[in-house]
Amino acid sequence: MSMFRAVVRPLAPSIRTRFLVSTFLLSQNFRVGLEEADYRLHPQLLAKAQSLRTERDKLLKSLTDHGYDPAKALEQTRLDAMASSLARYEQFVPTLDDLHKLAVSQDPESLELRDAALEEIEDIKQQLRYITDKIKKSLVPTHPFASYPCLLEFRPGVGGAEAAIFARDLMDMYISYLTLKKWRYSILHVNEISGADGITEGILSVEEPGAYERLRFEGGIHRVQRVPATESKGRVHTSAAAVVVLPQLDSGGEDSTAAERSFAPGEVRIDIMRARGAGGQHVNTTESAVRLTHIPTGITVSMQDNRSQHKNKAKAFMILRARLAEKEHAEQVAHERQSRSAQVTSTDRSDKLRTYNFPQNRVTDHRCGFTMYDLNGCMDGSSLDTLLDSVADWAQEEEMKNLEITE
Amino acid sequence: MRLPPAWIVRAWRESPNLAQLLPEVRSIANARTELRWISEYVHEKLTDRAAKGMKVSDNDAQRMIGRLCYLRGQKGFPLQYLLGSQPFGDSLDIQCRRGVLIPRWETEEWGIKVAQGIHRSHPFFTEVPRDSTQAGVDTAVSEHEIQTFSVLDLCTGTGCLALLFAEQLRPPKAKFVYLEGVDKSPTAIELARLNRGINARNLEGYGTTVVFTIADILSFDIASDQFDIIIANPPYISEERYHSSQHISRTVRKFEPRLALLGGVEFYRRIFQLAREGEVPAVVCEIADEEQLREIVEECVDDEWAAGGMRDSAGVARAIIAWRNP
Repeated sequence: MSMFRAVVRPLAPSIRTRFLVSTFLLSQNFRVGLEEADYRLHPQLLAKAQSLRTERDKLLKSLTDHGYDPAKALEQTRLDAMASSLARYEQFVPTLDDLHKLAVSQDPESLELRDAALEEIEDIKQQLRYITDKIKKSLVPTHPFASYPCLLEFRPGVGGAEAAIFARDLMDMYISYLTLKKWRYSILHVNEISGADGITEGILSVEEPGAYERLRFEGGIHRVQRVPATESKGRVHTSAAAVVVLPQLDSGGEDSTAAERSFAPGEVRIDIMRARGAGGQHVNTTESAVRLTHIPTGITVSMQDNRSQHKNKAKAFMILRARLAEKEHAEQVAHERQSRSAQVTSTDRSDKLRTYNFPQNRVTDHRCGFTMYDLNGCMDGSSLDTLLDSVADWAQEEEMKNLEITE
Repeated sequence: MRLPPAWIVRAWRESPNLAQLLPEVRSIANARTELRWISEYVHEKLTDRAAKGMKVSDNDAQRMIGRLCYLRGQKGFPLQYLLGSQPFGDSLDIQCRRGVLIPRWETEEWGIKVAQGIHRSHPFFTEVPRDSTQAGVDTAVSEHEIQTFSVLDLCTGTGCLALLFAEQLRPPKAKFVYLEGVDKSPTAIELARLNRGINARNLEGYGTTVVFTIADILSFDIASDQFDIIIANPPYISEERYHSSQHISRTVRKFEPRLALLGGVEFYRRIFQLAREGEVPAVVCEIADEEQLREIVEECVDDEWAAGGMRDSAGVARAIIAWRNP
């Protein structure tokens, strides 16, 4: 124990300071700008907000005309909040203009009202600042796959058996999180390593609409620092596991071959891993593994979990579709970013995004600088939401910076 | 082919159960997968028992897994007989018993392709029912005519094909789907009815009816215009192949019924005869290979019909699709 204390003391304060400094910097960045811009929307943004409101009205009409659709309803509630903020904005701005006139007027009759008006102006500015902020946040373009369910893939990184065990721990963490949230999920595929409690690959399907939006920033390298179960001398090791978050475009259940049909004939090669022979009634094979190769991109997906070859194939096609959609979107984003100014911070998942430090009972997210001294709560999913919230806030601020730059 | 002793040693080190499985399963990777399925089955079963208040110990699980691995690997029992079922289609769980042919992946594959093809393109499923307020003679006729799509499944066995079509062919509003599975063997029909109870309990509510009948394909007739399609997986292994271990696997011959395996072109002749007499517009049957396809086309398909073959994912000609020329 004493050995650890020596390590903990110098480290912990420095991390706290770093965290404070970075949040301070972020908030400073955000506040930079003309005072006017703080409580007034840029005309372009205002026009955009208004057009989104008309879109909401259309959506509302289609929902009442064509019946309930969870994805559309989700989009509508999102726009609802924006529309009510916009209504308040439009109500306040003319009032503010009138008050301004009153405040600068030299009319002796209104002179006594000036002080009251000035006070009122400050008050309204305060409120407008808040509303403008909210509208801007909702103007951040939503991710095209935001309302979709998602797939979570787990793979060990550097660190051998310990990394495989950590990949399993991560998968368990998200499973507990989903259970707590009462979100439906299923384990599509697990490839266990023999002898230890680790996995070489695990795929979860999260069936909740909008799960992709909530979990999409979880994709990347997760780092762990702890004394592994496989370590005999009690040394702390650092290893890593990768999480990939993909939008799930097919519901998977209803129409088993919808995903398959979305590919051109010959685009995907289907290999069935089975010895050649007469087949049919002549043999009763239990081998049901399927491997898909998407020829244009070289992406391969193998699936052998289920006893039914048909189900393995349907799952493999679903995963392939998700991987391709993610790839396409990532390429599009990279392209857009290139055409923008170079000062935009990268939000991609190039580096490790989070550290789970067991001896210090600490989780740190390296993107938003958020640190939480509740590792157990994180691993059992109960306080993962706190972490996800601060990552979401960070991501939104990043997006808003982009919004202001492209204005 | 003899198993390399090194494999057995390697498997034994990982788990004695794995080594037990090897003689029948033939590869360590496959044995690992089967061992996982067996363990999952045993644990599920014991959880069920515990839920019913019966005493279960960890020992029970190990003993059951060991016994199943022994039966599977050393005695060559088909996995489906040991676990009791085979998943089929999108959501079916087909019970399997001795005396009835185990559903094959090839049958599942062509069955789904054909059923989905019908569901996507047959006017019965794609046409929106005509508005009854529309004036005209047509309305009067269609009001009296019951809108039903009927499927006849011959040599149904476990009932897997009939139930697969029931699952895939959901009738549109105000229309019905009727499926009849026929088999000569009472054991098979009993099992098929059990499978209907397990897998198709909710279908009635959607307008789907599944019926299983004991009848010899060679000795019954169907009324004309009664069915829209005949599907079948008749026995198609020739006498010569049945006795050659090159063509047929040992377990199939040892455990699965001769009745469901041994046959040939005489079945297809009868199926096409029924289709002709009953004026059925389409026939889809599983076949052994390309040679058999040629034989059937030559013998059974006349000028009134057009026919084509369909390959499975392993590249073998697996089904004949025939339809009446319009």
